[in-house]
Amino acid sequence: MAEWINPAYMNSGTLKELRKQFEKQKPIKSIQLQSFLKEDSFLKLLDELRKARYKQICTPDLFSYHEAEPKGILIDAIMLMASQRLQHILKEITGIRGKTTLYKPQYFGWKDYTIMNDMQKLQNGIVFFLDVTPHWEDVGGETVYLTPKQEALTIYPTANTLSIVRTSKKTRMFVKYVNNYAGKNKRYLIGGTILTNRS
Amino acid sequence: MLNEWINKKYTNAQIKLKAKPFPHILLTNFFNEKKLIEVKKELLKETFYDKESDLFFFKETNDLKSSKNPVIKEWFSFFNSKEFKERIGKITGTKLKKIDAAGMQYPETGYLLPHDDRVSTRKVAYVVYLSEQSKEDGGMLEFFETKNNRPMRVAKRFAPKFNSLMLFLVSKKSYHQVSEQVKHEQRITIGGWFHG
Repeated sequence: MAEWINPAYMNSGTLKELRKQFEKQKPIKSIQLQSFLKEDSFLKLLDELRKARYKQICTPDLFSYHEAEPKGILIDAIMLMASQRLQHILKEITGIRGKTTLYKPQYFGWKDYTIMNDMQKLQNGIVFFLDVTPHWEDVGGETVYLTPKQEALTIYPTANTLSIVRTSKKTRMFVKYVNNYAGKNKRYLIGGTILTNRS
Repeated sequence: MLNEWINKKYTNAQIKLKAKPFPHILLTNFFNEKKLIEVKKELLKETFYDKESDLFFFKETNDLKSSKNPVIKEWFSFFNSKEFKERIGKITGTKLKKIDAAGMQYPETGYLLPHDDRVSTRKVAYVVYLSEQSKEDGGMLEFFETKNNRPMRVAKRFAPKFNSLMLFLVSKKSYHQVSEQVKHEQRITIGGWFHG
């Protein structure tokens, strides 16, 4: 699966430069790697995500989104997230190595959201997710991370972009409500977390 | 003062709250219509500020108790009067002290996600509807059925109807939301709480 990744992100010089950018980012260390997959791999993944069968995961005062049991190419995509190549990229950019947990493929469509709550606290480590979402503008659904001082990092869904965010137990996050301008469009995501003992 | 501001049928009559999914009542044609039209006209002269968080997106005025507008001041004085609070207290079976009141506008894509309103000394939540729209336009006040005080599914929906007053008791069961406004025009209300 590693051959899906844009070879530009394999270059050690590039990774060193990305590490500097990640460390400099305020209020929360983070980076977005655009054109992360090769174009044909991205389109193949988008097609599979669109075809997958989802079920709604909803606790009204906490969250509403959709999740798929991975099959076929989606299993390959999950394996890509766990691959040595991707883990190497994450380690080189963030300096963090630890236990990796992967999410099932998800989407946020019209009327989906998450609300900040104490039941789903973030941990020390990083969150990483690949947006597989074409043409997403002015419809909500962005991911917002907040520091304890309420400074915000907002990640706007951008097609074929891997976002990496440093988190701590004090970081809070939510996905903004997706409004009716989304129509039938959906924000597809695959990704996971790496936990570390370092805060 | 009651006779001057509200429909005679509500000044003395016994009014029973609906029990499900939690105690509430929608009182239609509640205010003197001529006065309420004037209140709406003057309310729209107030400054509405964007309010946005994980839970909501709408526009809201400052607390109307600080309004300098004579019409709004008069409305607030009535709504905060001992006589009116006793009337609402009788309908809701609670003893009420002070009130909060703010003008609210939901623009297109405005929403309020599910929550129970339990903050501080809030006893009775209220909404005064100043605009009217159909259920297809969104902006509906929706009440959740609960199980073990957790919201499960929407059990009741109310489309905004001009000159209606919604009252509901704030409790562990009072989960509600306002569905997204999909109409281009604004949903306009005055809302807040009677505190105990």
